[in-house]
Amino acid sequence: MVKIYEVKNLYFSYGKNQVLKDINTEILKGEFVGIVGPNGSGKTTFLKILAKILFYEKGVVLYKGKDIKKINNIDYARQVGYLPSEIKFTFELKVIDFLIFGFFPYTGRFGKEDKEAIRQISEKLNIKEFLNKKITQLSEGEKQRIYIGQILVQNPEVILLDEPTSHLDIGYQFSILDILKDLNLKGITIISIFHDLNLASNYCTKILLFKEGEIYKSGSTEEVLTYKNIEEVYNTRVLVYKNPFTEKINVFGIPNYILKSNKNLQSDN
Amino acid sequence: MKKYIFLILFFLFSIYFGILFGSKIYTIGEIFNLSEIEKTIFLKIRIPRVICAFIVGSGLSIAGCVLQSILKNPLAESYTLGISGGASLGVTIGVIIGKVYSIPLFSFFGSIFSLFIILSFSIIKKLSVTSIILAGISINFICSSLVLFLVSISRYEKIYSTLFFLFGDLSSFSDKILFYSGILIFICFIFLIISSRIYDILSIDEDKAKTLGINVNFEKNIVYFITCLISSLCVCLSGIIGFVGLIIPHIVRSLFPSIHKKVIPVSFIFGGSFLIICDTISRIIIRPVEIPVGVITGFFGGIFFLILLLKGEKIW
Repeated sequence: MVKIYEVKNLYFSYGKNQVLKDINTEILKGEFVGIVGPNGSGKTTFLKILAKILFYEKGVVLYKGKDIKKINNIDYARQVGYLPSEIKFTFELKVIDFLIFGFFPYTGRFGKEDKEAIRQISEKLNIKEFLNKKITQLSEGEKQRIYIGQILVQNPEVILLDEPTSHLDIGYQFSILDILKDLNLKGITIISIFHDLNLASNYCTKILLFKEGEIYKSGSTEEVLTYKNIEEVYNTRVLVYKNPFTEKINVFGIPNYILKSNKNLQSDN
Repeated sequence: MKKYIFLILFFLFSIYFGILFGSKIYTIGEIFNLSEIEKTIFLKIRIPRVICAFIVGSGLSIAGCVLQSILKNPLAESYTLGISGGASLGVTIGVIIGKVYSIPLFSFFGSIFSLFIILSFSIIKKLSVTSIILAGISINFICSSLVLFLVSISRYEKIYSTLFFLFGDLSSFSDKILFYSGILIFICFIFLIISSRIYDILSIDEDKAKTLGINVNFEKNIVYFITCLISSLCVCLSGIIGFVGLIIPHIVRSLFPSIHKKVIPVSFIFGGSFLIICDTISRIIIRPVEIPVGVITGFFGGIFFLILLLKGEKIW
């Protein structure tokens, strides 16, 4: 398998605050990688380093065997798309004008945009009716589809996402992740931060579990999402079992007051 | 489409108004039967003045427009960021030292200097967009005080020519500076249109811009350089004229499609026409006495902004 990313001994700090410590991992082509971990464990920083937004001081990050620091920004933008956790619109913008951003790595200042590609992508994502609307008028779920559409215009091999489903209801959560899974099955490598462990386990082929700036555990969902690992990292009690219908791991948090009153649960763990 | 026709009509009206109205009001028919003296007045005074007003108005508008985008702040413009203040201080120093043709250079360094102070503050102290504007306005006040101080201690005949710049005035520009400023501002305008895609992206999200292959710091520095250049030339021509760079992009963004390919050229034409009209009003309002155009723009700009605030529009 082709290695998309190889990360070796990666360190990163904001001033005196050490955010990432000795990160080592590999991401292969076609994987759907979920980055999970408590708030402040360095997930977003790690993703931003992969996206070439932040620069690390120590260690190596290779993209397809090349040091990402040495890859031209434009070349990189043609291969890797990034979705921030939140986009704030200071000024109004129409959906179509936002989608067109994706052409920038190809057109630069002067080139011409390919309207046909926009049409195809908007049909595929079912966003055709929004093209002439202002983005701020759309719901969060609709916005998320537009953002993914913009990344698809970039025609990338890798998509990096920072909690793409955090503001969405359950219907939109699944519809957005289904779109991503569909792209993943067509060969696009997806690396996404997840807050919800169950969504991560439903869609990912690999999980990186972060704790205090380090990768606490990485591997398949079944290897990583065990109650022991989760309780250790998140500092809470959970119940983990395989959903008989989906055959995916499901994680359920257990409130402390129930835990106290139920002796069976205590002995189980 | 209707809006663009209105824009062109507004532009034509401003030229008509600016050329025919003044201390003496002409009709179109009279223009073709002018005496020699009147012709000279037209060609040497009124037309250059209309051109000057257009250049300054359009320059300030496009500078305000891109500054707002890259700072993601609808209140940014060369006036509220202290750029104009720095430029006016530069001009004052230039006038006192007495080298007329180096004045634009002094003006430019003045504007770069004050922008540099503001940006270093904002980076070191991690200021919010609102605090940056407050810092900019403070710098403007400091510069104005220094200008007044320098004027007070300098010799008499120089005082008058410098003091006029403070209020924003279109009656005392140099033809040579007008010519070169016109060319330079037009070049900047073309460059900004060419780069309009970048400002679309930068006005939304800098991280997004980086991952689209844009060298964010480089592009922002170019914008700072260009806006300092434009503002310092405008200050050389007309002194500090506030609010134009703030109101015009605001109106344009709310009426026209908000991509920069449209916003920049429309602001250019609209801002230029707006300042011609303001300048003409300043010439005729208490005829034959002229008042500085900064008084008119400040008055309308202030009222306009109060209306925006009262309507509860989000401008922060």
